[in-house]
Amino acid sequence: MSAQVLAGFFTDKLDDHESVPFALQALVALAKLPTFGSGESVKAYRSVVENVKMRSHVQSTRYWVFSLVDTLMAHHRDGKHTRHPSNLMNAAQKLNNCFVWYFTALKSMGDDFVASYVKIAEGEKDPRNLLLGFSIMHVILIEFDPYLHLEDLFDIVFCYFPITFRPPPDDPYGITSDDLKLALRKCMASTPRFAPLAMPVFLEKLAPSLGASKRDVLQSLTACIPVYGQQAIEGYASDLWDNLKTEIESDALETFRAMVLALYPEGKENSIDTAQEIIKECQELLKEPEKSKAKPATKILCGLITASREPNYLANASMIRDVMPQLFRQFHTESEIPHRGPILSIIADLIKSLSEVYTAPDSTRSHDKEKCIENYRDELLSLLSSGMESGSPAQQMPGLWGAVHLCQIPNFLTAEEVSFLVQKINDLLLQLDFEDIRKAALDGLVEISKLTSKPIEEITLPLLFGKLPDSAPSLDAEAERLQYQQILSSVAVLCAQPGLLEMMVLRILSRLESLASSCENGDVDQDSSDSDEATVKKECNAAYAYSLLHSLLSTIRRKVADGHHDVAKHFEHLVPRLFDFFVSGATSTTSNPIKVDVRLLAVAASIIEAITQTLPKERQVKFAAVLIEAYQGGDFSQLISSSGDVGATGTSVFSPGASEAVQNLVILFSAALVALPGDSDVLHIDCDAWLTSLLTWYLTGSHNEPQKAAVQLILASMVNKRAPDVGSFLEHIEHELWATRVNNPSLSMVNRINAVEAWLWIARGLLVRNHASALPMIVRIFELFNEGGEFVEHAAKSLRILADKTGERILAKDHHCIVKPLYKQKLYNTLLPALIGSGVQQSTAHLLALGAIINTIPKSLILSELSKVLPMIMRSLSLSDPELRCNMLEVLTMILEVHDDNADKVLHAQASSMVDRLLSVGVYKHGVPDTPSAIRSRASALRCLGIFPDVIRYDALHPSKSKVVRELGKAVDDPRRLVRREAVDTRSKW
Amino acid sequence: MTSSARPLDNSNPTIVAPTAQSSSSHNFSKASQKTKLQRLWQEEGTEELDGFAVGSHAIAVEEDEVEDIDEQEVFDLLRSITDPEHPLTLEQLAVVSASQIKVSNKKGHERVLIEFTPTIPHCSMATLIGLTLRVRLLRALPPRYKVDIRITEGAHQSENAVNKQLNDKERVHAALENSHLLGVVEGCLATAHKRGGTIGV
Repeated sequence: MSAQVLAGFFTDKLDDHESVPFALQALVALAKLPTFGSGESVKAYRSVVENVKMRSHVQSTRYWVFSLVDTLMAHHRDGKHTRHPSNLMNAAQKLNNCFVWYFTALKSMGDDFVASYVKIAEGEKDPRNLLLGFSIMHVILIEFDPYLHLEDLFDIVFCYFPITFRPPPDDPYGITSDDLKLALRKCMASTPRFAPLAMPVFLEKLAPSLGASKRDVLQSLTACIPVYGQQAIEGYASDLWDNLKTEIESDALETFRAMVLALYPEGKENSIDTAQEIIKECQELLKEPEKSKAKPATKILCGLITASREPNYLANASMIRDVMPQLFRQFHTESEIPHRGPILSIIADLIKSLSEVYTAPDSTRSHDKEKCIENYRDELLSLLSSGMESGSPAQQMPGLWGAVHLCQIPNFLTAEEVSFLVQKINDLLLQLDFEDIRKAALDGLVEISKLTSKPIEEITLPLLFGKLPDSAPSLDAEAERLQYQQILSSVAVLCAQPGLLEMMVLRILSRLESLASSCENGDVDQDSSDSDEATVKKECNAAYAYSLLHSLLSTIRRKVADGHHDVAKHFEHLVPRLFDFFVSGATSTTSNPIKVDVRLLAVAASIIEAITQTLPKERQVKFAAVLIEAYQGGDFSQLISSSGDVGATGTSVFSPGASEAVQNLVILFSAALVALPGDSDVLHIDCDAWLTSLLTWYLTGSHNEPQKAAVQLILASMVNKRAPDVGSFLEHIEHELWATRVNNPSLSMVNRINAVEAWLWIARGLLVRNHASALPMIVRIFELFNEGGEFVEHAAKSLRILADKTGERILAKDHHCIVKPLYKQKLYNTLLPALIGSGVQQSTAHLLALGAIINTIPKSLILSELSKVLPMIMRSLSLSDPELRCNMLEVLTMILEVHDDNADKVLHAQASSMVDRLLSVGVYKHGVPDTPSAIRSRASALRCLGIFPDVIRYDALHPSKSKVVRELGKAVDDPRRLVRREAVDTRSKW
Repeated sequence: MTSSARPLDNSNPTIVAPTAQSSSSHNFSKASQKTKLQRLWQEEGTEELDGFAVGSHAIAVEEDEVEDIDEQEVFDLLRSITDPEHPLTLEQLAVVSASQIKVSNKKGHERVLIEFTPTIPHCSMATLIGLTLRVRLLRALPPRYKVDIRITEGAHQSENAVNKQLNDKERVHAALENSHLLGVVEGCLATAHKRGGTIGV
C-alpha cells in the first residue's frame, strides 16, 4: 500500500506553493498505478482544488493540474468517446479497469466536482492547457450532465469562441488553431442543454464575421445543430435562415442542410413551416432566373432535396410540387428567350440533386418510393429536348446536363425515353460550332453508356459511322475534315466503353479498305496529268486513313489502360487484316499510296503492339511462330491468313534486294516483337545470331528513319529480354559497333550516328534490367566529347534516347521486359556527376547532353546539385537550339516551383542574372526563324519569369523590376498570340 | 467589397452565361497550301507525343506570319476582370462583350476602341470599371495601340462626363496616384488572367 502512503504524502505537499509542480508530477505518475484507489483520487483532487491557486502558477504547473484531472478521468480514453490524444493515451488504455473506480469516485462528487473544476479551468489561456482542458470538459459535459452549473460551464466554453489563436512561428508544440477549434467544437456540441444559451451566441457571431472565422462559426453550427435537436433549433430557424441566405456557399450550405435535417427529424411529423417559407422565398427569387440571386436560391432548393428524409419528404415533395410547375410556366410564357437558359439550368440542378440522392451508395431513398417528379415526366422531357434543340449554347448546355441527370435517376425513364434523349444529344455531338457543347455531349453520352450501352450502340454509333465520308475531303474542305476528325475522336471515346469495340473495329477497317480501293482506281486515272494535285490528294487520303487508324489506336490504348479484358479477343479479326492490308500493299505491283505510307504503318504498328501485349500466353506462342516464319522465311501466308493471293512466296524483308516498301514492313514486325515475351519457349530463335544479322542489316544499306527506329526498338527490347543468351552479341557490338564505327572519325557522319544510336538503345535495354555492362556503355559516350565537331554534338544529343518516351513504353513490364527498380537512380547518379563534374572543360556537348536528358533526371538529384546545374542551365539558354532551351526551361520552372531551402539560397543568389537571361530568351528578335519550338521557348521563358515574383523575395528582384516591366512591354508585342499571352500574365505578376 | 456599408447600386444583377473560352481555335481562312498540308497531320501529331490523352494546344506555324491582335484577344484580356461590386466577372455581367470591341491594326494607326455597358444607368462604379479596363490594357497591350474607352451610347446618365474622364491621360494618371483607388483596381484585376474561366460561384 505504498502507493497510498506516497499519494497521501504528495497530496499533503500541495499546500506548499514551491513544491506544487513536483507533487503534481508525482501524483500524475502515481495515479497511473493500479494500486491508486478511489479514495486517493478524491482526496488528491480535493486537495488540488483547495490548495492550488491556478492563477498564481506558471503554465507548466497548470498543465500538470490538467494532466492530473485528465488522468483521474482517463477511464474514457478508449471508450466510445474518442478524445484528443495525449502522451498518456497508452498507459491509460492498459490500466483502464482501475480508472473506472476513480471515475465513479469523481462522479460521486457530482456537482461539487463540476463547480470546483470550473474554478480550475477558468481564465486559462495557454493553448496546450486548453487542449487538455477542452477534452476534460467534453467528458464532463457528457458524463456528468451538469445542469446545475450549466451557465458556468457555458461561460468557460463559449468565451473562447470563435478561436482566433494563431500559432507563433516555430511553435515547438505544433498546436494549430484547427486543433483548438476542433476540440472546442466538440465541447460545444457535447450537450443539447447548451442550445438555448448557445444559439444566440452563434447568431450574434455569425452576422459580422468574415472569411476564416465565418467558416469556423458555420462549421461549429453544423456540428452543434444535430446535437441540439429540433426543439432547440425551431425558435432560431428563421433567424438562422436570414443569416445563411446572404451568402450560401459551401459551409453555409452544409449548415443549412444540418438545419433542415434537424428541423425535420426522421419519423416525426412537424408543424413548423420554415421550409415552406424558405421555398416561397426561393420561388420569389426564381421568378427572375437570369439574376445573380437565382443561383443561391437553386442551391438552397437542392440542399432541401438532399436534406429531406424518409418518411418525411415534406420539404422535398412539396418543393418539387411548387417549384417545377412554376419553372415550366416561366419557360413557356417567358417573353425573353435568353431567360430560358437559366431556367433550364435550375431544372438541371434540381434533377441532379435528385439523381445524386437516389444513387448515393447508402441511400434508402429511391424514385420508386418518392415519385416526386413522376407527374412532370413529359414536361421535363419536352423542355430539356427543346433546350437542346434551341441552337443557343446557353440553353443547350443545361438541357444536355438535365437530360443526362434524368437518365441517371434509376428506374425513371423508359428505354424509349432514354433513346429519345440520346438522339437529341447526338445532334449536339455532331454540330461543329461550339466545342464545349460537343465535349459536354460526349461526356454525357459516356455517362449514359455507363448505365446502358444499348442506345449508344444502336443509335449514336451507327449515326457517327454513317457520317464518316467515303473518301477523304479535298484539301480545301477543312470543315469536312474537322468533322471527320471530331467524329473519330468521339467514337474513340465512346467505344472505349466496355463492349463497343467490335463494331468499331469492323467499321473502321471496312472504311479503310474502301478508301484504299478508291485510291487505287483514282491513281490510275490521273497519275501523270497533274502530279502536284495528285500529291495533295494523296496526302488528304493518307491523313484520313491515319485518322481512322489513330482513333482505333487510342480506343485500344484507353481500354488497355482501363484494364478491360475484352481487348485480346479482337486480335483475331484485327491484326491479320492489318498485316494483310500493308503486306499486300508492299508486295503488289500496282503501288497503292495508302498501303505503303510509312506514317500509316507506324500507327498500325502501334495498334498491333497494344493488342498483342494483351494476348494470353498460348496465343502469343502461336503468333510468334507465324511472325518469325513470315519475317525470317518470307512466308506471310499464315500471318495474314486470308485467301493468300499475295506474299506467299519469297517476300523477304531483310533480303538485300527488297524494295523500300517491303523493308518498311519491319515497322510492323518490330511492334509485334516488342510486345511479345522474349522467353525461348515463345520465340524459337537463336538470339545471338539473329540479332547480329539484324544489326548488320541495320548498319549496311540505307534505311529511312522509321525503319531504323523500328530496329533500334527491337535491339533494346530483345537484349533486355534475353540478356543471358546474347553474350556473344554483346561482345560482337563492342568491336563492330563501337570500335569500328562509333569511334572511327574516318567514317561518314550518318554511319557513325546510326551506330551511336544503336549503341545507346542496346545500353538502355540492358540498363533497365540493371545489367552490368549498361552503365560503362553509356559513360563511354563521354570519351567522344574530346573529339569536337559536329558529330560530337549529335552524339551528345543522342543521349535523349535514354529519356525517350517510346523507350519508356516498350521497356516496361507490360511489354514483358525485365525492369529492375531504381535503375534510373543508378543511371543518373553516374551520369549527372559525369556531366557537371567536368568543371572548366565543359563543352557545348556537355550542355547538349544535359539538355537531352534533364527532363527525366529525378528532381531531388537536380536540387542537390543545383549550384552546379543552374549555371549550366543558364549557359545553355544562350545556345541556338530552341528545343534544348525548352527542355532547360521546363526544368528551371520545376526548380522554381519546388520549395527547398537549399535551392532557395542558390536561386536568390542568381536571381538577377537568371532574370536577364530569361528576358533575352523571351523577347522576340527580328530575323530569327520562327519555328514552333522557338515560339515555345519564348513562351516558356516568359512563363518561367512569371514564377519569380511568387518564389523569390522582393528585395532580390527589386533592382530588375523596372527593366523587366519595360522589356515585357516589348514581349506583349510579340507576333505570336501564345507568347503575348504569357507576356501579359507575367507582366501583371511583376 | 460587398461588405461596405453603402447599399449596392444593383443588388441583383443579370448574369450572362460565359461563352466558350477563346473561340478563335478554328479559323480556316487565308492559309497557304503548305500550311494546310501541315494542318492535315497536326491534330494527331500532337496527341501522339504524349501517348494518348489530349495533347496541348498545337501551334500552327507559318514562318513569318504575324498573328495580329484581334477583338477576341482583347476581349480575353478583359473578360475575367471582377466587377467592383459583385464577385462576378465583367463578362458574366455583360459589361464587356466581344462585339463591343473594335481593333484596327493599320500600321502607324493602331487603335483599340472599347465600349462597355454598366448594368444600370446610374451605376456609380462606371468610372471605376472604365479605369480598370484602361489599366489592364495599359499593361497588356503594346504601347503602339491607342486605346479609347467609352460607355455604350445611352447606357449611363452621365455618359459624357465619364467618357471624358476615362480618355484624359492626366486624369487617369492622377487617379492612379491615389493608392486606395489603385488598390481597388488591382483587386478587380486579380482575376483578369483567367480569360474566361468563371470566378466565384
